[in-house]
Amino acid sequence: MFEPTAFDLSAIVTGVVNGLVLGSLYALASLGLALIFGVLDIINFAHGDILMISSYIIYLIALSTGNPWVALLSSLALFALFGAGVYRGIIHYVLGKEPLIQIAITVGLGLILQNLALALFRAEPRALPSTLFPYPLSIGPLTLSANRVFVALVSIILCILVHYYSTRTKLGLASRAVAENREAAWLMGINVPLIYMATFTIGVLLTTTAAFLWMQIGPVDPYLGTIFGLLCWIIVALGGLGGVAGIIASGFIIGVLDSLGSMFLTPSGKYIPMYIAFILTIWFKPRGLFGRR
Amino acid sequence: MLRSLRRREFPRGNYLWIVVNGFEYFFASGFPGSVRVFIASLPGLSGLHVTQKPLIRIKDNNSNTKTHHPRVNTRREVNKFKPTIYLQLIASNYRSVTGLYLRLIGLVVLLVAMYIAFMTSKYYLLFTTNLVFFAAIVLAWNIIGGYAGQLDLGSAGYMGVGAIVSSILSNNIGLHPLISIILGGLSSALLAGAIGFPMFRFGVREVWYALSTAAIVVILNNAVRLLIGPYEYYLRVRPIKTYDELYLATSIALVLVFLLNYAVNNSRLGYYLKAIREDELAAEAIGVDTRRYKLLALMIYAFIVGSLGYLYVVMIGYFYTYRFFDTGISVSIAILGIIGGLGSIEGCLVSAFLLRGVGEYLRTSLAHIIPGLHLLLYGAVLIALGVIEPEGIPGIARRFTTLLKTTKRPMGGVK
Amino acid sequence: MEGVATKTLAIVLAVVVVVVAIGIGLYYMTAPPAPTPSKVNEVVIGLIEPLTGKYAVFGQEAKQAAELIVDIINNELGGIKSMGGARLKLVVVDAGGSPDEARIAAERLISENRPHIVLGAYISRMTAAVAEVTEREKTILVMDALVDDLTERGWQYVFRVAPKASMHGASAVDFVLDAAKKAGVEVKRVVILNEDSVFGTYVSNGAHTEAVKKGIEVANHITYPYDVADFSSILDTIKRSNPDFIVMVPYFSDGVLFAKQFAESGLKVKFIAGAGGCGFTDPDSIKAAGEAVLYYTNTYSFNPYRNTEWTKKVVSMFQQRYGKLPTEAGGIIFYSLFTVYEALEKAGQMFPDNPLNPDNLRQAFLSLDLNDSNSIAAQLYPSGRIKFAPNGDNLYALAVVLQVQKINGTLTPVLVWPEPQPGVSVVFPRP
Repeated sequence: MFEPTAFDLSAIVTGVVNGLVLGSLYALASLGLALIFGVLDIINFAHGDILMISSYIIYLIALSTGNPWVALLSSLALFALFGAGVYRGIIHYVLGKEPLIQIAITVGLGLILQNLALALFRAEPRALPSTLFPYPLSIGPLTLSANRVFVALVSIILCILVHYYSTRTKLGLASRAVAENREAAWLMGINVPLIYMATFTIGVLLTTTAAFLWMQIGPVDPYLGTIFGLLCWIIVALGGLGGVAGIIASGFIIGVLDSLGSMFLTPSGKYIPMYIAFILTIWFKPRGLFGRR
Repeated sequence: MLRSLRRREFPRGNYLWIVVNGFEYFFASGFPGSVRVFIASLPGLSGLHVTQKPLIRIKDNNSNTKTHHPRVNTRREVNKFKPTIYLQLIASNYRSVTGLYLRLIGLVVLLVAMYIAFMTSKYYLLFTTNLVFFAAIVLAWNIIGGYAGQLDLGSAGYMGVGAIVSSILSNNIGLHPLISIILGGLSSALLAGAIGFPMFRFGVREVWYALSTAAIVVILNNAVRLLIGPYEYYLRVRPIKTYDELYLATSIALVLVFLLNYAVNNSRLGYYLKAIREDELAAEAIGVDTRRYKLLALMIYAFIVGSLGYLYVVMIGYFYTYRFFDTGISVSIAILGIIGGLGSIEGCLVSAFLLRGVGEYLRTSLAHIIPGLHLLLYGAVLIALGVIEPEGIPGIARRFTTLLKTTKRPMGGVK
Repeated sequence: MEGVATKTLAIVLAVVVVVVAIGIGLYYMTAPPAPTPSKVNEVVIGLIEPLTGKYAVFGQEAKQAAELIVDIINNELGGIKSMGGARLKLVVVDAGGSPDEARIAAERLISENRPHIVLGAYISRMTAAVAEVTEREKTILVMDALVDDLTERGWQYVFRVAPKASMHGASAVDFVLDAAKKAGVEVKRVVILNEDSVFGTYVSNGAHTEAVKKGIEVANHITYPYDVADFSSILDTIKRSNPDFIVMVPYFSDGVLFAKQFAESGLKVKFIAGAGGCGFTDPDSIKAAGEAVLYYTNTYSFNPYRNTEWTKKVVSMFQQRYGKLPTEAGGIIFYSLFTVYEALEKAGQMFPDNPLNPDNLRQAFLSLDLNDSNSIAAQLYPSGRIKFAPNGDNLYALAVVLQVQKINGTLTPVLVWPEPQPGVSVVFPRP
């Protein structure tokens, strides 16, 4: 029935390139989660749903104003408020508590977001009718969608920016200090609650940006979170919390496994090699491929 | 090893203990070893050579308490089968016998009462069966999540495996349903062991453990679909024919899981598990073999959940599909266990019956008016509960009783 | 703490609970029995659909359609004339997201409302759970789930007016072959692509079997998970298989994603035919995908452009009420509910003193032979004829094909098969 692609070089190259393109967006989407988990130690099961609700807001604003950039900027502003609000109202109370309680709370938050979207926007998928670069690019034997390449490039650039943030800026360095040892950071005079709020907000903003990029290539429905939720966690766990490079690398790995699995196994079964690879990596390198220490 | 058996501080003659520790000795000594152990402990079952202080007190007809020294009794009494002894032995290290008795009677009375109340309405009976079923699953989850403190999100996987295996065995191969159920449970336990052994050996913990178990469910979903196709498979063999029988089966399952929870709680296994949950490193440091006990807890839980899988198949109408493997189910079971308070048996029961009951009831009442409203409310309740009382339902109960106590003593401080 | 006092308290509590329970039980036992059928005041119609969860798309539209039709029957048509003008009472329940929830919902529906006829539940495993209940209660279930084997379970009280899944797949292939012949274009190779649920599998297997029967080579048959985020590798596989046309069975989101990515990829095939009634040509997908879905087709169980008085009327009423064109889910409910109406009328005529008895109703259903001139239901149905086989399937089932074309500058779905609607002709192959 399904004829897997023949195992030739051009197929592998195509698969790998597609995977890298896909993986870049996965990496950006997971970056927010990595930041929040790394610094605040919060297990956030609502990450995919935050992405989903950001996508909806971006869709609405872009559709009504006709300008995607206005949509991006206003969404960033909105979700900065949202992030700060969620932090102060919910997350603040479960910092340091049992991880299971954090899971329960974030699952609750995810449920609220999902069903809010269902009630407000109904269940049909929505997508932006016009995207930025809707034409194909041909590079040698490969044909790629310019849109996706744009999205991938922007994702990588943003990841690099986050890397600079975490290694060069004061806020970034302070966040890493807090991630390493909260007490010591506090003793050093770092305003830990402020760092927490800032990091959480930045995590949410990164997710919003990823949502903007996602809306360039795909549709949103209230259950978009279920696609990205577990996947982002897998990428974070695989990549470890040692830095942005780890997330980028594991995003690429997952993307390439996704792509190659689709071509050489069957798209239906692509999750099997992906998740088996994940489990095996966790067994042998529990802190992820590029984990802390 | 036999010598060390005798010297243990926990009572022998408790055959639930044997079963629970039997798994463990199977690992340690292999099959022949565990058979030897079992045979050696048979005398203990009858209490013939109890070397420690007797812990059984019985009242004779004149309401005089006398201690029962099995050694000095006549042969007739020794050979008489006294089932209550086993219950007493289960509870003996709990605060008191009456604690277990009360709770057990309370549970049975509740189940019987619900049946009497709802037996004329098929809807309410099915609804209650559903609640009892999920209560049993949450109680099983309590063993790995509450006692051992592992965030296990694999319950859908174990339930699905058990369901499919027992369905195929009872329907296609024609085995007796009870045997199919046990074998289904064993296959889930085997799967859990196969996954858990490397996981615990490599020290996978907390969120990584949760993600791994969720990943297992996804892998099973895809693998089963590739193996058997996306179709629904209907069972022809239907041993349980009415809702009454199903309710009976599910209630018996709940009572058994309840008792098993108590047994684990009061056994050495439970003792070590709780130590592991509190601080795994410290437990390792004092010599507890954390890997072995976590694996044991995991396999017990997987066995229970796998056995219950067949009841799920019966409950939905005797068919199975690859869709059983759904991380959403696992997460909701874990949530119920978390809200119930980790390690609290009563809390798990309350959260399963109350949260799920109200949620389901609201769903069929409200969903056609405002879709998703019941889930919105559920999410809000989860957040509220988690923020206000991270210890779950037992924490709320504690606050409530403290409130009652303090209001009773206006002058003094809190006790 | 544990003492005599607590023990007594516990016993007292237990007694109280048992007494209360007996009380509740007695209350239920003395509940009024089912209404005697001598004078029928109202007929209760139950609708059980997924109103929450990822299938809410279908359930919501089915609910809207049902409310409209019940309104029409009660107010415009004056109820069931053969039962003295008895009105229909619609009760809607949410089937939830899993079979155990669907079963509970079905039990609640039946025990609280005692419907005479139930419609539902769109998703095959939920419909199976519901059917087990309705079969036990001998309540007629008119199914809007298209998976074939639901009518092959041996259930006696189920009926399905809509064309089944495999027919959708076969229709897509037949349509392409017809259009190719008319356009004088040769098509020899097909790639079949389906979303890996049981529904997608049945539809695509239907297409596969039909293709093989008609001598078309199936170059590849790809199944993918509905929550795919990227079709690039699949598109690459398709390119390597070099097909003349593609038959795809999507769900909504992936349909939109595929269309967009296909447009961006620059791939060229002679035609892309959808099957299964989801995606591509429904108004929301058109809005979401835009130009990318131009010239895509899909098979439907309902033809909103059918040139009969009642199709035009119901479609325009639906559009007026809900602001959108009815698609698959709504359309199936239209004619299913009207078939119920016809069956009720027939039952009232055939069994005037006990029309709502389940076996009598069943006889009424089986005796129906509807066509455009003698019924409203047939006018709403693609083939114009409704008659049930003993297993409940419609002997004259037909799926139609709609295509997205640009009419006066806007993207609109138009009917192209089996007969194009007036003023329209099929665009084949893709320009």
